[in-house]
Amino acid sequence: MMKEGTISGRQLITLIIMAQLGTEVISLPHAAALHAGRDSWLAVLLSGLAAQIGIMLMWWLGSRYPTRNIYAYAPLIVGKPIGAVINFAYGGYYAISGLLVTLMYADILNRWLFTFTPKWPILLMLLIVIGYAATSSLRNLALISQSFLIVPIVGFVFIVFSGNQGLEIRNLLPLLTEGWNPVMKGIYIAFSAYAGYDLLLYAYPYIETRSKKKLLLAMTIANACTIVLYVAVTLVCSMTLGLKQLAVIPEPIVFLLKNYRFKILQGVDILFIISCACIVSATVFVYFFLAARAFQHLRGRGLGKQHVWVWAIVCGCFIASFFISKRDSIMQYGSMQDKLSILMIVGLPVILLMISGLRGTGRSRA
Amino acid sequence: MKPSASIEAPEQYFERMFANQSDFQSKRLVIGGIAYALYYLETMIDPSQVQDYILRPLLLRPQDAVHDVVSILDYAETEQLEEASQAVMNGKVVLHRGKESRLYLLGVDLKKERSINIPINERVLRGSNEAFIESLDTNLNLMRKLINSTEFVIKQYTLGRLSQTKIAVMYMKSIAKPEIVEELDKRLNSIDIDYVEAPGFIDELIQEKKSSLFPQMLITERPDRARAYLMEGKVVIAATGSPDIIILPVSFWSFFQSPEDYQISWMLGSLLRFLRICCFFITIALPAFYVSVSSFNPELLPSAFVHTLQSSLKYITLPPVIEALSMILLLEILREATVRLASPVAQTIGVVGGIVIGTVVVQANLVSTTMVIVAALTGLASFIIPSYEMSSAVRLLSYPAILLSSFFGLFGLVCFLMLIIIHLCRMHTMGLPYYKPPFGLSDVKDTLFRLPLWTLRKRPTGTAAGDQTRMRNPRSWKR
Repeated sequence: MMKEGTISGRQLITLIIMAQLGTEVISLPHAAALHAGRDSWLAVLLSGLAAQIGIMLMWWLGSRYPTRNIYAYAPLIVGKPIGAVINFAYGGYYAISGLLVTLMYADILNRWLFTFTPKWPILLMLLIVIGYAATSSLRNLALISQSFLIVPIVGFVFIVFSGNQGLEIRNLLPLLTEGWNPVMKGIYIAFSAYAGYDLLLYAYPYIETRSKKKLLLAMTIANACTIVLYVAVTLVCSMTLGLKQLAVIPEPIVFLLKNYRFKILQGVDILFIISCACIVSATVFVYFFLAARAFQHLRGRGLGKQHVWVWAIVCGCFIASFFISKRDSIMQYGSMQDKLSILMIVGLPVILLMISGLRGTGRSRA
Repeated sequence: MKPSASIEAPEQYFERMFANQSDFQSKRLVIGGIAYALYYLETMIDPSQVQDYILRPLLLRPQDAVHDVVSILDYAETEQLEEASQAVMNGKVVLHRGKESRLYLLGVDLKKERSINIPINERVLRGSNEAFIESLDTNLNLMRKLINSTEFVIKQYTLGRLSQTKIAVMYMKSIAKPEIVEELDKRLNSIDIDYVEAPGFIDELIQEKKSSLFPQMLITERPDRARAYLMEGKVVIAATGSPDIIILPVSFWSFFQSPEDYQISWMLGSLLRFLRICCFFITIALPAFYVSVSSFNPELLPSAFVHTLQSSLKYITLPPVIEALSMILLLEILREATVRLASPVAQTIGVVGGIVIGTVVVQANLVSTTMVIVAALTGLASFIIPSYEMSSAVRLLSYPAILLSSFFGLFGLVCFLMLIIIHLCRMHTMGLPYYKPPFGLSDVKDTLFRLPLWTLRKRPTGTAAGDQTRMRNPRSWKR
């Protein structure tokens, strides 16, 4: 068994928020508006509620095995060989997700700031920072996330107040013009923005809370914060910009932030894009960390060292990034990853839960 | 080896032991028909004490036992010649009375130490003006006088195979975490070295992270500061020959605390504390920010500002990176020169540094005026940080920041700051986290700010394991 220090409920909240937030802060309003139109905020909100259901499922699953993480109890539920396959799948999934988030962010950076810089130095820089963070323990990751939390908070304040140039409530009306169908599509699109709460699968046994309910409460608070942030971002964007504008601007929030003109600072938008590096890296280092742990758990008594796995993943991602360079292909892989994430963080836990319920394993330990 | 009753045997032993020591003396006297021998190093003892408290009483009462006659507090007897020779090295007089098999070790060592001075490196406007000196006994005396409690424990160690340096570990019995004291005991005992240069050697030999720029132990010359940390459950290490003591385990925030914060009103104190922490970031980031704004992201600033900046850069041929690096390097050279230069010529530095470099460099169009301002501000900001180690570390960090921001602009700077934060989060001292992000009121109370004293009722939980109540009911008169 690999040792892991415990984290407090408060640290869990931060970790989850930071893992959930990603490049979607910048791009979600555009992506949601493409599918859900005026009701994108509704889609984002409902999607958050769907994530809440996912959290409950994971919490339920985790509370059946309160002393083990998913990588340790998956083999218990489905037997060793399939358990190893599941762990491997999780490892691969997290590595790919991490890579895609990094690529999307690098793509945004490339379009807004580094027009003439090749992508690889930026990626290398980011991946080194992320890799360095991902080699630490869960507790240290929590500390790092706590330190980075200031960025989304300040960003949130700026985004909310950027709306004061003219929020147009009529942009949202009428509700549900085209029925529920586009909204459902929007929920599906927005759901990947909430991915990251699946950290609970791994972190469940390491959280120091007074009771199981407190743990669920912490998760709910974290998810609620994320919902508030995403919904606020989407609302502000779709109230200030029209549907047609939203459809062509991939990063509407940056445009809104351009409105700020202080006497001493002009480029709030640039500052925001750059400091999003904190948000993005907080997501990705959690992913890489989870991936490394998954690979470590391929064998019962541990396989390899964490830092070796992390740097191997980082190298792999860096090499892979040369093959996925076009924006279109990133988007293509992104939509594939959306499907994959639903399978991995909703489907698989549900299946595990069902099997464990049928076989009744773990109940006695709980 | 045991001395025989004859007077010659120990003499031969000592003569052999101290064969080449020119300051070794062995004196043979006969008082009242009894032969006496005295062995000592004449450079280590105080002759007047020998005459007044050993020889004169012996002359007056030659027949009585030595123990009853000599009036010396530091008195010991031994039958081991090895022990006796070590005592000679420590500045004791070894007395041998004929026909007796034991030796008397009498402490009459000469104390040469400077008087207690005011602190030079950590000055404050309000507060105590005592500083530690090189003598361990005096330092311990200062500490005992500040803490009049049996809870205050001083444990002595001897380190250094050859130097036999005395080290004292101090802590509060009821407050300090026993694990930390034990861990420290383990680490100190494991040190095997020929001599100890305190505090540098001890610091390096017991710290956890070998390769980190950030200081992991607080070094101070102020007894009041040492006391403040002792009361938080921390452990203090003092050593002979060093006017600086080590405090551990400290967190990142301790390096921004100054004893003065608690002497002035809490609002002022908080302001100063916050200023110092801002200066930490200014020192790391300001030159890098200058580089990235002037060469990468000028759109960050309003156009009027950019125009001013660009006009100062108009005739400068050097790229901003070289400009920034050279100015920061120059600052470092000036600082080092000021430390090394003898004080009568120290004013030269002011002339050379301020006038020649500051003015002429700009007139010669080598460096822009803005860069001079940035360099000066960076230097000043780093000197505000109360700990010398921390301020040097921070200044060193500004070089990679400049380099990265010359490659990636502001993005490089942000990545570098992230690296620093990640590095800080991963550090541990004596098993405790080194850096804890200020998160929640209890964390910022005495870190980011210095809130009023009555809010600091509890000691920090990390180091204080036992008694955590600092104040029971402060300001109870108010009701």
